[in-house]
Amino acid sequence: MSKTREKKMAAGHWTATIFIALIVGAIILSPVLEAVGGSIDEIIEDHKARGQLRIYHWWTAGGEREGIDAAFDHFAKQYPNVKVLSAPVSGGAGTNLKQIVKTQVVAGNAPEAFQCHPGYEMYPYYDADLLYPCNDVWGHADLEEKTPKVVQDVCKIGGDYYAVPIGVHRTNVVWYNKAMFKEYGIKPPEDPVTFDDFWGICDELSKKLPKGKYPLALGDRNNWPATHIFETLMAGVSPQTYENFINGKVTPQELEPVLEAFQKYLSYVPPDHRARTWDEACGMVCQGKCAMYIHGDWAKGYFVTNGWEYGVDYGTFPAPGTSDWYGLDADSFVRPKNSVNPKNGIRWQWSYTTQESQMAFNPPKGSVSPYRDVSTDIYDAYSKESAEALYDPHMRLYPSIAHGHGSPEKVVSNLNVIIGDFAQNPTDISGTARGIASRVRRVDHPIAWGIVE
Amino acid sequence: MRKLVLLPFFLILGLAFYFIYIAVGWNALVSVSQWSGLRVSYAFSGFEHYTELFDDPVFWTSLKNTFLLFLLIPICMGLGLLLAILLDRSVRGEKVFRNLYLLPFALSFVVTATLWAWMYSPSTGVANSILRLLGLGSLAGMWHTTKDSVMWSILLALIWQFSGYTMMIFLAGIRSVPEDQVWAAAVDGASTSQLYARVIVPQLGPSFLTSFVVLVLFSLKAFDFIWVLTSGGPGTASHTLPVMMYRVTFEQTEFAYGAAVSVVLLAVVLAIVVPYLYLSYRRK
Repeated sequence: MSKTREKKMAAGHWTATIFIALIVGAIILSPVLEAVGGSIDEIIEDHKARGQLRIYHWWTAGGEREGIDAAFDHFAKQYPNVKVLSAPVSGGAGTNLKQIVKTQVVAGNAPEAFQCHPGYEMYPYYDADLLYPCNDVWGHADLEEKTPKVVQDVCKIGGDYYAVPIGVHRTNVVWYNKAMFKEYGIKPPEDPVTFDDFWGICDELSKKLPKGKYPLALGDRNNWPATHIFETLMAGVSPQTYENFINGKVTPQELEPVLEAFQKYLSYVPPDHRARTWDEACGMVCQGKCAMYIHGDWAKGYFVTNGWEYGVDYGTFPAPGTSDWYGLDADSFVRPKNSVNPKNGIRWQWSYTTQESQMAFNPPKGSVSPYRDVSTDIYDAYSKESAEALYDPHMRLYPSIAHGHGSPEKVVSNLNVIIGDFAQNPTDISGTARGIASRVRRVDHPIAWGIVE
Repeated sequence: MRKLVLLPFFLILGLAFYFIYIAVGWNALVSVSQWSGLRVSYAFSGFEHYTELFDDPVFWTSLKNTFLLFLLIPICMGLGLLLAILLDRSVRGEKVFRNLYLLPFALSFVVTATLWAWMYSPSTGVANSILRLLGLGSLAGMWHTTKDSVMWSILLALIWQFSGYTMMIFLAGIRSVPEDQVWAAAVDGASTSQLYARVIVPQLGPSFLTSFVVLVLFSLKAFDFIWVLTSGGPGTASHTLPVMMYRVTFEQTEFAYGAAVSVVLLAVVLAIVVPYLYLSYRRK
């Protein structure tokens, strides 16, 4: 055998060895998927559980980060041997997270749990059979006893639960600057707030306010804050229209009065509203440039950060026509299939429904607990009112469209564009109504909502 | 042993092949598949996504805006060349200016888009304030907030961001012109403008091509800046093909339709890049 031949063989040998090593390494490193078996009680009571808990969520800012970290701490106390891998993806309302999670779940590299707005936002995963139902978690923790009916409904698809809620925000809130109301002699309206009350205040303010100040604020650079106001006005104009909208049956005739109300809202806002984001619009209220703003109650976080006190510097009342309605924007976690330790996903969902975890999570996050057994004394003045409203048996709830609960994402995506366009040039009411209705009716609406008795 | 040394080379080549060409092919496959929502299916669906696309007015707006961004190319190249020549005239503090001009390019688009959103703010932004200060209040506009001016506002901001980069390319090109040619021209009595027009600029071919390709590729894939500044709005007024692709794929979970958009985008890229490659290889 010649020297070169020997060398060649040695080289071939080496290549083969490296390849085998690579393959063996890949097999060892590739996670072995754990089967979901055993009773729910066994799973939850197994506090010596091991493995990982990989979680995607979009809570990266101020108080929300604090809230989720507190919930993780609570989980770590319950299951000290589970390795928690928190994967925060910043970007308001999870716009970036959805992109990452969708690709990872389809690719079969799913986390144990990810954050999701329950309702239509989880539908594509359900439709592709990529979610585990979680009836067992709901049953084990007795959650049906503790939650309002519509909160249960948004977490269900086809009679099964697929999401476990962690916190709730209210969307139909008017935030107002108390000093401005006082200065111009305006009294906040009494319950129930009607459209006449609301427009009356706006008219009075626009007569009295100097140039450069406005009765209402809006910050729709990212489109959805305009959709948020549109849906809130729709619920106020007619809950039946709202129900028809989320059931995919709305007609242009029904939408016209809603767009008229929205057009009226737009006549009271600064002309350059499209240059602002939602928090910059809150800033206009803080600076006394705008008197009121319809927005969800995460706005509270903005006011608190700016040193404002509830009842002293700012006040709230329900959006017109919605005094006995609660616009629901819930946060939840779902468990995708193809994760490494699905049982840890179950443990996580259970762990944050406990009172301790709920009490640690919701106050810093600024949301309220979906569960009635959590004392309302833990909240500040605003959230206490919001929690009491949520648990009030006479309160009726509607799932938010702009935040992904009530309508399929294709409807929301197109609605954002149409409403953003209308907000900039609010003239063609009948054309816009036809455009919205046709976009809604063209899309399948597999979930049947019943919000109006 | 030589084989062993080559192994990483082939490995990298294989990975590159996989992540570029296989991915491109896979994307084309998805665009004609029955993939719906997150339900993966590679069954052939015909070209329905393409016919739907060509019927979609949003697609035509996006295509038009994508081409509109090509205006960046002549403007940035002209401005970059001018700045490079000015700097080449050994102005005092050249280094400071060079870095100052290049700085915008070093910033992330998310940062600059937020910055421009504040500057463009019609009531409180710096842009309108300066115009009013100069007595040009009538020119103060609505910038990125109306359909008519949104694309021009985006163009203006991108010109600011890219001109420094083309300047660097041209400056490097100018500096690589052999000094003896410059001296020879001077000895022959060429004026400064003649020196640039006849001697230096004609030798900047490679710089022109480089900046052309970079600017074309950027205008074709412009997404982050626009998404942060306008979310593609008002309405669909500032949609480009990548913005549309993102909305369709990730907001609406229409993977097949989104893949069709990106195949069209790829076709536009190829229509521009292939002649460029052909030209540059032929020269060799």
